[in-house]
Amino acid sequence: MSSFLTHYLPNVMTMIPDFEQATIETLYMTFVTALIGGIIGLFIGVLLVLTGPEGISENISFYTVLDKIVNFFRAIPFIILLAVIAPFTRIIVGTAIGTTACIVPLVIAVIPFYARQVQNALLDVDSGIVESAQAMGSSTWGIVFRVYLKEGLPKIIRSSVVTLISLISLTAMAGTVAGGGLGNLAVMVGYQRYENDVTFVSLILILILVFVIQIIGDILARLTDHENAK
Amino acid sequence: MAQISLEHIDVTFKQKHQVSKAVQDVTLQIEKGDAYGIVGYSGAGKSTLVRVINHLQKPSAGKVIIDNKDIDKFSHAQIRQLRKNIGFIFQHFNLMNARTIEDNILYPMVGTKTSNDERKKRVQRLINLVGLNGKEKFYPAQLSGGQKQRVAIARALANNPQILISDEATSALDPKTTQAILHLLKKINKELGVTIVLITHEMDVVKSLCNKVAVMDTGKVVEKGSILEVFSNPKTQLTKDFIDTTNNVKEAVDTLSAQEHFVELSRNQQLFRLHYIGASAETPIIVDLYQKFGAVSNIVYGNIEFISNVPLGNLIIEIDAEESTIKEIKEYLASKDVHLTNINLDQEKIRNSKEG
Repeated sequence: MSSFLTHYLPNVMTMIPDFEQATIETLYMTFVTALIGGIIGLFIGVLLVLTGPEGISENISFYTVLDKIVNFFRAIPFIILLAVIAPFTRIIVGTAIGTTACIVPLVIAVIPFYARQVQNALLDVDSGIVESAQAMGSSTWGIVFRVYLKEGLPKIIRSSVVTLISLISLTAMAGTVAGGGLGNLAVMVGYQRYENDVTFVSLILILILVFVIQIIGDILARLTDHENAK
Repeated sequence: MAQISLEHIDVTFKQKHQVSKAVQDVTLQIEKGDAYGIVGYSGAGKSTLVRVINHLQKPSAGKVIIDNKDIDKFSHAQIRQLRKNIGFIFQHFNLMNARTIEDNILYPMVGTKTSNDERKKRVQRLINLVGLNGKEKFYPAQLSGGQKQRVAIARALANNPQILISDEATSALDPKTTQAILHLLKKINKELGVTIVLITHEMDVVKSLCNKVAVMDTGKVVEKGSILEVFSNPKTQLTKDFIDTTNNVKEAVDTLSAQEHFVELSRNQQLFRLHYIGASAETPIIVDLYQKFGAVSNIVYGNIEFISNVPLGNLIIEIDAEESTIKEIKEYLASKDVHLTNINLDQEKIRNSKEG
């Protein structure tokens, strides 16, 4: 077995600790970003729904500004965003390179993406249910937590999966500013040194991560969906 | 003082360059214990009007007074408190899909001072009331339409409201389920003394549940009064049309106009519609016509129903008599509060073909 691996994956076998390190870095970037970006994105998504047309706290001018900001940040290609906000990153983290520094652009990229996903998920909540909650005397934030987020949970979970998966692909790009992680390993080592087995194994690890997130997400979405379940 | 008093309510929607007046100068008094029906075609402004009662829709002008309090002066918190005490049921039930039946009924009690024990007891009592025992842990998706509306009713009653608003609550249900839900609403109105404000486009619903009715057309109330008043003496054509949907007079006339015998009556024969209420129902009219006027009459169609326990009759009769006798008969019947109107089948045919 060991000789088989050494034969087909010569470089990988000498780099096991690097792979461990890179996997941890990818997980670290993904989940810290998901946590920070998730909370802020969720909040902005909720604000978009509340203040948008027909929203329960309709405020079209506020909505229009927020909507434009979200569109603006979504329009910036991530690789350019990395460079553009480097000075800002330096202010916050103290450095513009490294894994932790990567989290700043990642968060900024994820917020508008996730906010839009959350907005779409919440707009799918039946407006009649929201109206009935208003008729029962719920406050605006009561409706957010006890109606929108509860009724929209299965769709929010599905959107979160989509966001996490695109986040993983962003972490791969973050490798270009010495962010580390599996993407960095695949490109900087595997591709540039022609060590194809490194690229290949990095890819497999990323795919495993994606599939695990997808499976967990599907299970959670199914468990929380009482609308379409039997 | 009425429990709910709507005074000169206007609701105007402004959309870009268009202004639509959904409700115009509506004044209604709803007394405690009333089952007040508001009937009208879709777009008449019924839904908008009832949403004014709990300020789900703020009126553009006019006053809403509930239990002697002007709710336009209420703060947000007071409005929310008011809403907790006004049950609201909807055409599409609007249950929360992510919550069990039990949790749906518990929802309105969150944030109230009701103790946990009391909440549990109340949920159980309400589930008993609406007849859904054993379904506590089910989710709405697992119930039929009628059962969902029962849950919605239980939920609407969770805070022991004095007022229940029903927005087309039976319109998405089949006739049998509609009857069962109306029966339940009647029970809530009679036994719990809850005031019901019910909007519908079906006059049958009003007839079987309400004691008062208002008819709405393009944002205005065109007619209102007790069920008996309105059914026995409708003033507008719209109201008459609505009432005709609850009996089969119109169908009967249509059927008759398809039969040669009735279209080509002999010279002295005429078709009449006889309409009477209450005590007149006990007068032996047909016998009178013969004994007093020597007129032979024949009932071709009859419909007698009870509205608020008062009989209301609609007959179509064929009378064979001279024109002068007919005149006398009309006067005689009018003195007995029986309305006699000619039916001209040719004209009916023309009217029908125009409507068609």
